[in-house]
Amino acid sequence: MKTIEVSSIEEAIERAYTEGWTDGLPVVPPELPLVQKGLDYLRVDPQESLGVIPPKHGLATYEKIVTNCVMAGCRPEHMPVVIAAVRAMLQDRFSLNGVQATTNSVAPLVIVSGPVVEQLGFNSRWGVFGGGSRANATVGRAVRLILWNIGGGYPGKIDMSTMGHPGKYTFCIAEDREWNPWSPLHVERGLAADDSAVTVVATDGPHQIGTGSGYASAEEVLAVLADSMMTIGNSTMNAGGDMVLVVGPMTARALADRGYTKESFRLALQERARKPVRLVRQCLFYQPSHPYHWSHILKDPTDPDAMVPLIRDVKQLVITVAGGMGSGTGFCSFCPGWHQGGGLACTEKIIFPN
Amino acid sequence: MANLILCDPIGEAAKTKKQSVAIRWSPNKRIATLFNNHVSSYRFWKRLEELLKERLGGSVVATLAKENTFAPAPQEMITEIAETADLAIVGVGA
Repeated sequence: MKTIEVSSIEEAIERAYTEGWTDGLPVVPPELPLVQKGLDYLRVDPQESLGVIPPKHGLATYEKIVTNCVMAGCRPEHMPVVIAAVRAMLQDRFSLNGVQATTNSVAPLVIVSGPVVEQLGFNSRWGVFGGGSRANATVGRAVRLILWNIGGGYPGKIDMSTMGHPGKYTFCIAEDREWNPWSPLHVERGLAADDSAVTVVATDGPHQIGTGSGYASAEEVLAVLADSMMTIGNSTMNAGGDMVLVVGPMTARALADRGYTKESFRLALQERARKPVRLVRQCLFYQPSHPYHWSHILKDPTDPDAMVPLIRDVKQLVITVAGGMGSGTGFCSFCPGWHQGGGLACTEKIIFPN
Repeated sequence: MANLILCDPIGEAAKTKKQSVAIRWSPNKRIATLFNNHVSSYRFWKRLEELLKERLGGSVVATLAKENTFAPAPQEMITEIAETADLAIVGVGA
């Protein structure tokens, strides 16, 4: 294990900057006893690797993962959640190399679901994308530090994201179990209801949508959601792929009370989230000859009145229920994805040590 | 106060067996191009292919394009290049 000796906390904090261990925010000094405590909790071989984190192709050994978790402020029991997120990002369909290097602004959004949400105190309610919970903040932060220190996602050098977004510091939310009227996200993705899981999707930052679901009809709510999701400059509209709709609990309840299942809700949005060719073709973000371009999914892409769907396949719309109750405004958040070649939703079960 | 021992969080780069091999150019070499389909490089790549064909003519034996910019080329594409060409120009764009 490579170590550095310093004489004070102040020196340790400054040394993290000079060594390039952090992206700007201060970190908890990764002292050897704290790292050892994490490794003892996990009961793993420190040199065993989960894989290689691109683009720098650093080995994701447990020792390095735990060290980054300590720097992020994780307690040992948070570390299995981080490990599940790393495993999910290393699935081929996530295409982590591209997510780390693209000029696009996407970052891996970590969605935690299952009993672990209450067990570890993840915030799934008010301010779910913001502060207020150590679990959300430190798990998301650990994922970012791993992408930084093991994967080498340095802005302007390897990470060429022109805009980035605040989720590149920490980007972790949790699904609310009590207020979700539908099946949990991880159950939809093949796990058991009493499992806990992490789902990662590379997305833009969250775009708030005020649906007015406390007062509006289901048809009005659907119209607002669809229109707010299908902006012609977003990557998903141009090139497909997975996207995340975080449905606030009021809106979820309003739709469920009107008979909408998650499946029928998805279909309803797919039907409504469409824009005519005459508008969409103004965006030359993707060229028509590109295999992902929307023109390939239309019978006649030259017809100005033909409708281009945002949701090419209903499975591409990841729906989770999170956020606080409000006054009737029924806020939701939409996170466009990257494109159909990567950043796609990947789920891993969280495995705690026996 | 005793000194603090800090663990280095930076991941060691994975060892690779890949080795760069210098290619000696000669006019009878067969060339393939493999475009990664990056959205920003369409014009550049089209022009590159045109120039290669214009200047090297029959030496250009295959012009291929990956569907997914960010994933490795499918094995069948790599096999096709290996069987038909002596060198490949790959990339590019961000």
